[in-house]
Parts: sequence; C-alpha cells; structure tokens
Amino acid sequence: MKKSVFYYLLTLCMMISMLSLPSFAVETSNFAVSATSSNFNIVLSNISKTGATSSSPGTNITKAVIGKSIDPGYAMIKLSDLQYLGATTQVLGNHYYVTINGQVITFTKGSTYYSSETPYTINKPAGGTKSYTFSVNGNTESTAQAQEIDGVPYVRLTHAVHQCGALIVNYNSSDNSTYVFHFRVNGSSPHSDSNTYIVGGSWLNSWSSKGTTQLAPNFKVNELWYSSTTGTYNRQLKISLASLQTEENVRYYYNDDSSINVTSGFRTWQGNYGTGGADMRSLHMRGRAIDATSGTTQTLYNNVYNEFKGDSSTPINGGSISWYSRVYGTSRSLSGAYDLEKMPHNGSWWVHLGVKPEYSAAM
Amino acid sequence: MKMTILMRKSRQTIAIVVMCISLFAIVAVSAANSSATDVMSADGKEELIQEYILYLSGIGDPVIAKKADILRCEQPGMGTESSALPTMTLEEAEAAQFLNSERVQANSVAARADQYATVAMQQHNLVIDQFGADAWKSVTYTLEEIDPIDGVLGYRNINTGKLISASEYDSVLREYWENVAIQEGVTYYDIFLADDEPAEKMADKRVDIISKYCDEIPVELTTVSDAQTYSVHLSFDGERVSNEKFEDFHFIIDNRNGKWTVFQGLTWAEPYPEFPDGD
Repeated sequence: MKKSVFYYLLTLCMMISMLSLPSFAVETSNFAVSATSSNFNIVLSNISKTGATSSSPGTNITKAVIGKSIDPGYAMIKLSDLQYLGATTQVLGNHYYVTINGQVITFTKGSTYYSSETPYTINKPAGGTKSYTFSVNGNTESTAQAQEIDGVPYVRLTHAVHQCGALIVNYNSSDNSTYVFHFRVNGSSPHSDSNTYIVGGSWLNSWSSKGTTQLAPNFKVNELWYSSTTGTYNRQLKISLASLQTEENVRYYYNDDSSINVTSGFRTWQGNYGTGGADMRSLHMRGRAIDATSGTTQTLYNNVYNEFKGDSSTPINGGSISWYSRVYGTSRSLSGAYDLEKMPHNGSWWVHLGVKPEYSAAM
Repeated sequence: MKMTILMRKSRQTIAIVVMCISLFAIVAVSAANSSATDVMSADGKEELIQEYILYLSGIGDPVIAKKADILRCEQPGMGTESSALPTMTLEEAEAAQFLNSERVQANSVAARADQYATVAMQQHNLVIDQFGADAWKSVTYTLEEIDPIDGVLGYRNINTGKLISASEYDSVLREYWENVAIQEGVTYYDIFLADDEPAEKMADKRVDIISKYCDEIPVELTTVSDAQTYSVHLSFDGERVSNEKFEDFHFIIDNRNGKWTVFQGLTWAEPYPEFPDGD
C-alpha cells in the first residue's frame, strides 16, 4: 500500500516536471518526506565598509545562489555552493565532507549531527612541535538535517557557513535574501587563503564549555573569542594558525602568561563596529590580530618591536587618529610578516599585533 | 540621449547604435532601427540585457524610481547605502519564521519593488561617481557563460572540465583516496567513515590526511541544468576599472524559468585591502 502511494506521488512529480511547472509542497529525501520547501536567494559577500551599519557589513564582490527554506522556516544551502566560500566538498557514501582552511566538517545524510576537526601543529619557540586537533560538534533541528532535496545535497545554512568561518549571516526580508559575509568571497572564484583557522561559536554543542580548551602551550580558547555579545555571535571565535603561532611566540619570548594580556582577540562584526578607532575590515574579524597590554605596554612594545623591525627600522608615526607608532616588517626570529602598532585611545595604550593574510604559519 | 552598446559573444564583435528617444522604449526603438534589429536575439536575451542597462541608466531620477511597480531582477544586486542592507541576523529571521514557505511565497512584488528601485538608484549613482557623469551614455558589455544558478546535482572532472556520471565520480574519488591511503600507510577507512558509521566517529579518523590532500581531488560537485546562465560584464566609456579601482561591474541573467530574466542585479568589486591600517 505504501509503495503504491509512493508510486503515484512519484508519477505526479514527474508529470509536473514534464510540464515545466514549478514543483511545490512535496519534497523528498532518501529518508523521509521532508517538510515543504521554497526557494530563496543567498548572497555570499565579502565585507565592505560602504553603507555598513552596526548590524551588517556592506556588500562586496558577491556571488548569488539559490537556497531552500524548510518549514517551519530554516535555511538550507546546497553543499556544493560552499565552494564559493573556498571550501572543497565531497560526497562519499552517506557522508558529506567539507574541507576549508585545514578544517574538516562532516555531515551525515539524514542526521542532525555534524562534527568539525581541525588538526594543526604549533612550533614551540623553545624547539620542537606540539600537535593538536580542535574537535567540536553540533546538531541541527530535526527537519533541517543534512539531506537531499530533489536529489541535491543540502546542509543547514547557519551551521555550515558559520563553521566555514563566515563573519555574520543576516536576512533581508525586503529582498527575501540571506546574506553570508565571509572574507574569502570573491564572486565565483574565492580568495585563496592557505592558512588553517580554528573556528567555533554558539551554533556548536556545549560551546561555552570550550573556553578552557588549550589551543597552544600558552593560549586558551577564552582568551581569543569575543565574549560580550549575545545570540549567535556570543563567544564567536576564528583565529588563524599564523596569528596563534605569533601570539605564542610573543608570550614565550617575553616572559610568560603575565607578560601579555590579550584585550581583544577575534572580533564579531558588531563587536568590531562598536570598538572605537577600529577599521571596518579589521584583521581582528579575520582572525589575524590581537590587542595586548602588559604591566608596562611601552616595554612590551619596545621588546616586540626589536623582533619586528625587519623591513622598517624606524617606526612609522601614524598620528593620533589611528596608530601612534607602527612597524610593518618581517622578523627573523618570529618567522613571518607582521604588523605591530602601538595604539592610543581614551588615554590608554596597547599593542596591536597583526599577521598578513597571505602569510601561512606552515613554515 | 545616445547610448552605444557593444556586444561581444563567441569572439565576434558586433556594434550597434541605439538612438534612444525614451529610456524605456527600447523595444520600439529596436524595431525601428535596422542595425539594432541585427543583434536582437530570437530568444529575447539581448533585449533583456539592453532593457536592463537602459533601466539602470535612467533610474537616477527619483520620480522614475518611485514609479517602479515591477521587479526587474530576482535579487537586486549590491547597494551602497544602509537602506540596501539586512537588519536582522538569520537566527532572528528563522526564529520569527520569516523563511516559512508560505511567507516566502507571499513576499509580493509590490512589497519589494520600491526596495529594488532604491538599490538600482544607488547602483546608477555609484557608476557615475566612479566613471563620471556621462558613464551611462556609453555602455558596452560582454557575455560570459557561467555555471547554472540552480538545477540538479552534477559531477565534473576538474582537469578536463567535463561532466561525468555519479558512478564515475564515486569511482574516481574512491581511487584517489585509496591511493592517498596507500601513500600514507593507512587504509581508506582510517581516513573516512564507512556508510554505517556515525559522524561521531570522525574524531577517530585521520582528518589530517583529508586536510592535506583535499586540494588535489580530481573531481567536484556542481550544478547542471538545461538552462543557461550568463554574467554580463559592463564597461563604461570603454573602461572596466574606475579611477578608484572599482571593477568587475556585472549582472547575472538566466533562462531557467523558460525565459530570460535578470537573476542578480548589478554588482562589482570594491578595492579589497589585504592589510588594513589601524586596529
């Protein structure tokens, strides 16, 4: 009897398809007849300051794709469209694999559960290496499980793109479009970025308990996530391995944990927007910068400066608006291209330590 | 107003001059102009492109913009002001069930038309800011066929660019990873999950090997369709890059609904600072 009903449904769908009419109401997956779905537009975008507000970056170099909304109102994205964020996608049997910036995200067809593993190695300044795997997992809502819709693999949009490193994901009812802001978006050809990123946020299970997870010998997750917002972006984290390696080096060279107090690691869009003097495409939002102070910031700056002055033996004086003193160069002992800035704001001083986007820690 | 449209397609260059008495009379103008008729396509693609360009060229007039009562594209493209941007997170929209299918389908043309016209005005003005006051008087375009916007799941051999079957995809991918496993001295199932293994088991797998070799995978997923999709690249007075280095001005058209429509309105690439100054 069940087979007979399925046969008639299938025949009906085929007839509708042959008549070139839009199909609606009945969508099938391999595991169950899923909820009703409708098309909606997804705009993948880089980040611009043009027109930006506290709730949204401006758009730049966009790529528009079509997603599915699943009742009661969850957004799904085609697995293959994650390529426009720079991801590689594969379907191997029942499992979908998304690989991006050193991270492997796994979805299973018909399952709400997904996981992410990021293996990486820290070069210990004193010599040797230490290997880590940053493991997190999450669950989607039951109707929004990884699934095939009309034979096409889809995954839950928010979980997938956030875990791929999107900065913020917004919805615009005026054009029925979801906007995914990600620094790698570049139309149909994403920007290259070979660095590994460690990514996490409230879309994951038990994320808040990950704060004490050790990312490097002298760094924990909760020193680098952004912690003063609520909702989706509460405690959001994205940190490049290049940046983490640099911070570990600095902390090692200049004493111990107490020598460098991280005052700003990763910044959410809203967090960065609300930070006085912050650039709207700040490296903080790209997981490539930290601000730090110490008991004597001048000493910290002077000490780090001696390591950073490679290309620029004389600090650049940027005036009082942005940086006060800036060095942009390549350090032999820190093995990388860095941006060191000493910042003034409201009478306090700190050191801004940034890492060039194209620089990979894999050296 | 005189508008020159230069079209390049399949390495052929065709130039036409369309004398526009009225910005929105392109069909009538084309019919009256034999040169223009020569490049009108049988399926309406060229007409759509020209009509959309003419629409953008004239939308700087707020009076005209406010009279907009149709959607000239499915997605309006990029704006330059906050009025074009979303105001809520997707999480908030989902909680409010904004993406419920009935609400999505009920999102009427009338409700969106003003917003789309506002975005189009911003696009019109940006082009003038970047290319000068006469920018819209001389527009040329080229077509680039791109992957379909929507369709069914397809598989492609990356090296040849050719579409392959699902079974070929499975077999090539499996062979690739089997060889990687041999090279690394492990088995395939040390790297990947078996069909009956849950994703929880990924923590036990050699994800470092997936990460190390995934860039060389010889096949990829794609979308295939009988429909065609083009990116229409614009030049203004022969220039594709403005003095301020704005570039890649284009919009997307496709015919998946049986006729040519603008899927995404005008977009561009703003200069992208790799290493921003300051905090």
